[in-house]
Amino acid sequence: MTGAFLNLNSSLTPEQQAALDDLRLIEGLRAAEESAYEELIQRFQGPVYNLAWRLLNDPADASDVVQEVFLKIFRNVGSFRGDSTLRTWVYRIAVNESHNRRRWLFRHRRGETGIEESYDDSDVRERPLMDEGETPFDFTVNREAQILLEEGLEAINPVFRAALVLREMEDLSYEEIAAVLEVSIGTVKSRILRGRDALRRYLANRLDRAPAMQLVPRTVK
Amino acid sequence: MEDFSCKSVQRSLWDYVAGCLDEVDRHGVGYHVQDCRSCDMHRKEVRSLRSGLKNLPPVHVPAILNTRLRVIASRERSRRLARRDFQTFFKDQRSRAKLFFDNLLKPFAVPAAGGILASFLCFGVIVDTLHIGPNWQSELPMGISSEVAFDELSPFDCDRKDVMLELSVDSNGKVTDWQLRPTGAASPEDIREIGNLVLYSTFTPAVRSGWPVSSKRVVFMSHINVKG
Repeated sequence: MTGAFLNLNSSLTPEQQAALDDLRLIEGLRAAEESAYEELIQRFQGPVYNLAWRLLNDPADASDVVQEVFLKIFRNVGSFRGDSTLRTWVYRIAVNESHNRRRWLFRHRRGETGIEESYDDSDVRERPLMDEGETPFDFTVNREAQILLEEGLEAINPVFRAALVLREMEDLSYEEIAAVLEVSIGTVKSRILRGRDALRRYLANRLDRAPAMQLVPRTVK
Repeated sequence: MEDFSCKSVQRSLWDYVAGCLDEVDRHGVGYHVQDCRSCDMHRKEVRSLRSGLKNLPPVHVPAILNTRLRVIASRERSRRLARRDFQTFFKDQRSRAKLFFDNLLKPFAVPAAGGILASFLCFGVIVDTLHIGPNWQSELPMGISSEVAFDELSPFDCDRKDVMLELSVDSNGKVTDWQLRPTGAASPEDIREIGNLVLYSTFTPAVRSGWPVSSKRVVFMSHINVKG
């Protein structure tokens, strides 16, 4: 019996296996199993925090959103029907909460001026391990490119940014993004396309600026 | 894709770089890019941009957020467990009420203990100086009776023979009336002297059931001469 079960499991495709894992996790949450809560946090706290951080550009707001997201997951897991994957459902809550948060911030913090210094997130950002062969120059160039990209992401419309981040950084399919954002696939493709164009235009404008010093070769008289 | 023009190819380059195109489209775009320098440059740009987005460093979850999430999870789990059946629900509510009561009283525990101790110390220090209890000095015990008594005799001298008097003394100790016994046994001069003697003497009134009352008392006054 066990062997047959194992064989049945081994014949599953990765998608089916993932769906089975999701189902097991959902059942565990419904049964209030401690391990299920732990697994959910382990699986999704990083992606949800990254997504919220990319959509809000503020670590404190991202933390608040993550807590709200997990609270909603824990409370509404009983009503999760399984029409979409668990990841899609979690991301949908995260995107909606981030949008709500941004709207709230827009309404309530328009006139605020902080007196504290700007938040330095260098201690919470993951520092990639340096390749032995990478020179300081390469590292600097890569870091500058990353900063430029982050600025570009921050500059584009949040609606397009959400679709772009889900597609390019979270590796969601068009169908999954459509389920997360609750729009049609055509709209998803359109938003991603416009997000990419906006990002490309931003980077092109930043990189095509005239250099501070230009060398002009001349012949010696 | 219906055609492999530059416009449609450039729109598909992101999916081409990501490897999401089907076999036919991938070959069509690949051939086009090989022949078209502009689209090839565009492909390189897209590949660089996509690589940059992919390699953006992930943001680490702050430790405090990790802790908060576990607290939320623990609370929600206990809430879910409590809703399973009535017994668990009531047990949970009882423990919550106990916790609430403990938390409510804990801030007062140390100040209250300190206050009680301080009050004991203060009371112990000043207890000797306190006069606690009813003041019995102005009251007489119930059931005690006494007769009229002399307090002080008049300073006026009465140089007469021994006399027996019946005195009427009010509740304030004042003589309201007096009579000689036997009556008519004294001259008017004697009566005046005896009157002065009685009028300026002070008496303690009679007491009945603890209260001073008016009463009569027969007094025998003897005259003693002391020589020397």
